Amino acid sequence: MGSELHHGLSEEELEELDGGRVDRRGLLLRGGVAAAGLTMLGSPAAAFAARAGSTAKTTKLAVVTHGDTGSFWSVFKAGVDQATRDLKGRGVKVTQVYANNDVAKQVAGINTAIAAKVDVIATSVPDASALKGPLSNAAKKGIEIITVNSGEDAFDNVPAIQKTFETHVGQDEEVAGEGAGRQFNAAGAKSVVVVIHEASNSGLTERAAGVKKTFHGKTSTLLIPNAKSDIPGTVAKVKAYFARNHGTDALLGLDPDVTVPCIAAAPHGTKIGTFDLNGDVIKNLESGKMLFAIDQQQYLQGYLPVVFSVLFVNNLNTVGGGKPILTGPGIVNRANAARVAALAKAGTR
Amino acid sequence: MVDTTAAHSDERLLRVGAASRLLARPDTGAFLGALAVFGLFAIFAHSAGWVGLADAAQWTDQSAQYGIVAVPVALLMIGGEFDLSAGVMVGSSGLLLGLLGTRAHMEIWPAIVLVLLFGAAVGLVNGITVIKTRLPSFIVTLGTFFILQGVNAAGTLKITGTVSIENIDSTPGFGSAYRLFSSTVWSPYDFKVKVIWWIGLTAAGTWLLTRTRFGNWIYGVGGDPVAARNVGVPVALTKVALFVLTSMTAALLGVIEALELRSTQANEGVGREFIFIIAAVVGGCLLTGGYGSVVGTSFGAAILGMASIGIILAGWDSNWTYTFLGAILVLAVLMNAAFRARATRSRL
Repeated sequence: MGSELHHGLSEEELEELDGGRVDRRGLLLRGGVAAAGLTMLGSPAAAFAARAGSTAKTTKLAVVTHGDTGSFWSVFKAGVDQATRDLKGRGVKVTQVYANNDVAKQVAGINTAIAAKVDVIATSVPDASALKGPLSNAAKKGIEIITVNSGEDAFDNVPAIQKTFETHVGQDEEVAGEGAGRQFNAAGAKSVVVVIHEASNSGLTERAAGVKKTFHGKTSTLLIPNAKSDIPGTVAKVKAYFARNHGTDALLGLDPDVTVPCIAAAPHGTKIGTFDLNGDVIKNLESGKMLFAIDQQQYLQGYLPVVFSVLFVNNLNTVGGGKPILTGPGIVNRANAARVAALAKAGTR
Repeated sequence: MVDTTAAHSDERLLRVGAASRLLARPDTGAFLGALAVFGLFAIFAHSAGWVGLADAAQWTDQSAQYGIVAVPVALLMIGGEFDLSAGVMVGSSGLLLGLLGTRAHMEIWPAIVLVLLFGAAVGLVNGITVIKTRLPSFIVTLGTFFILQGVNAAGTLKITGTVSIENIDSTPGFGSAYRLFSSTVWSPYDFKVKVIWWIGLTAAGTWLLTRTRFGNWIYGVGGDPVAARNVGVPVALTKVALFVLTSMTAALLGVIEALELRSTQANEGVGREFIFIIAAVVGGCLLTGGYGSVVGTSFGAAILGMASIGIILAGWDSNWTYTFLGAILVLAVLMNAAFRARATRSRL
């Protein structure tokens, strides 16, 4: 990172500003001093921000996730990019790292962000124990932390991180499951089976627990380990389940790659819902073969942290009040499937 | 064969009773095991119609999913080698078929031929690498497994932007291929056509192993490659042919699945390589080669298929599926070992 990013302040001045003060009050003081320094030194970014009629502080945000560049995370990234464009006038500089499930790479991304003295780190937390150290370091340097997508509650008991932890932006799995339960209630279902396609993913069982919470009928689960690498076998197992349980009239899949093939396995008239969207899901929603899809709206998980960062750096606003910001469950059904399909094509859903 | 004590001059004159002869077969354990598992679910899944044909359509579907590739995997194991890339090949082939049909806009039949040739090529690479480098096939094919897994994930993502290839049914000529590979027969039970493929491959594999010269070569190269070479068996050719056969059959299953689902997932087949090997081991094949049975392997696949569907039909907690399968594996291997010990003793 060049001196341009430090708004013309020398390394020593920055060190002094960073030294030890990590509480919000300290940050307030620091922000004021930094802003004053910027006005005096008149960096290009500050001049631009001043022209835009805003405070003279460029927000530096590092987005570091475990995601890949697949269909899910590309929508997330579109959210980050759009927010960066939308807030250009406020002065915001965003770097993005997608670690592709490589924890070491994610840790390196966080360490790079700390070295670059960013204001805010927005990161997903697929592995809390691995990220605890680097994020504690970030907090020690007074960097604001926002978790995105995964990691709700991950650091509740880590005081070192709580010092600068702002909020989590994501979908609460259980709340999302509750949303699915309500959809089945509205459709008049009596007994639902939730197909759990991975044995060691606690998020999936939390979804099922959420369904059980709100659904008025009977909630059962069917665990099929490694379902996604033997889809025909999965279909046969779901068929067997319906053969055994005649009273079951609803099915919830937790992944479109599992739910869509299982449509053929369920008896005609079964009410079928799924988590997440893809092209096939939208087709089946439009034709009525599927009732609803739970969308966690990851576009928001990318967009909102940029907004929150700018608000924090410029105005010291914090959001959430200690609670997560929920981006889901967004419900897609026959009524809005066509419009969502158009948005999905544009890469924002 | 591994029986090095065969020097006994009068062993061929020994009279062996029918029961002993039956117990000496490598596939007896798997046959009895299949009967036992069927009986178990006939009791516990009776109310869900286990003994009926509708349930049979379900478990044979799952068993065929394992059995089709387990047949050549068993032949390869008898020939003294492993193929850990057989599982991921199912996914690679399905993805390739999807790409040829939906992206390259080929007709379905030429596309299927190309996919099978791709299977042959992968088998050829596996086989030649094992022969030329003298590395254990366990390592060589593990490499192929990981390489293909990466290609499946990265390639699919690059080309489609998602982790699956969809709309394979838009390929010209899809209907005719679907009928041959992936439709159902015998309404209203709707058995999958792949079950017929499985039974057909079992018969063909058995014939190959027990009725042809190539079958003798397989036993020879697996039991003692040096001795086999000394009596003029083309060891390299036999092993490479077995690798090609395995990969091509995995490609065939990939085609069957892609047509059935009309789409293929990037991680389809991953993890099934061990199921194939387990079916072969339950079926009486030795990990050290030179001994085993194709029919037994198909009984092994039947056991695994029955267990995974039966647990659901019996209303048991499906969380225990793997524990159940593990217990079956250990029991079957113990039974096979006992029978084999008896068989070798009786020849002394």
